[in-house]
Amino acid sequence: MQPLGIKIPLRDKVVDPTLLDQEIKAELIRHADIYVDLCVGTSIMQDVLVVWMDERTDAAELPIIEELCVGVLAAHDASKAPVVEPVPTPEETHAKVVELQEEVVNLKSLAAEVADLKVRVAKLEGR
Amino acid sequence: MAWTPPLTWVNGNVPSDTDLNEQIRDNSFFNFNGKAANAIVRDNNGRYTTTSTSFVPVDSTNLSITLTLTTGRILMIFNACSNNVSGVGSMDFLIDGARYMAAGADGFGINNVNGSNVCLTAMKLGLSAGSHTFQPCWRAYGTTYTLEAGNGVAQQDSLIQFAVMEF
Repeated sequence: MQPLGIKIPLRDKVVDPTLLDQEIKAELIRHADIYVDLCVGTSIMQDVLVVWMDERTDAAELPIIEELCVGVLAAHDASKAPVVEPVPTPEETHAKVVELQEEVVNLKSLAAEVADLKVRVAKLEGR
Repeated sequence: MAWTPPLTWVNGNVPSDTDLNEQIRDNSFFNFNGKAANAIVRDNNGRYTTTSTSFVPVDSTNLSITLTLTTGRILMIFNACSNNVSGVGSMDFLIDGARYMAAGADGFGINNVNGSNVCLTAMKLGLSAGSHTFQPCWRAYGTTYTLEAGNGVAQQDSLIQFAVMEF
């Protein structure tokens, strides 16, 4: 059995999928714990929000849940979503590792130079 | 042209024009281009996202193929690209609403690499002759899982293909 999808038109409203999902779940909890327990998640398709409810959800409850979600959508403000930093690609990660390895080599070389200078200073002071 | 099971000819049979047209012409046409197939290239003008922790159709309206099968043997193909800030998700196919890899909780496996190609190919044998509906489906794992689908932004503007062919 598949979850039941409640389709709600977005009507060109700009949404943040993650924030909207959190807001819908918060509203479902506020209304009734059982609603959020039955909610398996949300999807955004082309100009449509789908709220997925477990197949055990009572069909008579679906209009109530839909009404709650419509209210959440109306109040949703995508600009309040936290900025998510893109996860680096494997190539970017590799480039960073190479860069850090080069830095380590440079630091080791500097450390050797410092040690050499210390020896030379000690010798000079000894004189 | 519809497929007609070939006759077994025996001595004394005199084939009529109807027999020859059915057995040779129509069956040849069927083998040439009569098997069911459909291919969708989906430009959604925006990303597909889901947070569903159960497998649900990616897009039951625009990524759904219904074919009337004769042989009962099909090949399903799905190509897409996960988003550059994509969460963790996995994918599968629905055949008449039932998940193909249902024995595996994670379908075809978990994708948690940002900006990677999601390419699925699956062959299914033994379907009954008649109408069947095929859909890609997906789920997330505590995050928002995202597929690119033509959002018009540079380096994110890739499309989805979903195809099913009888063979």
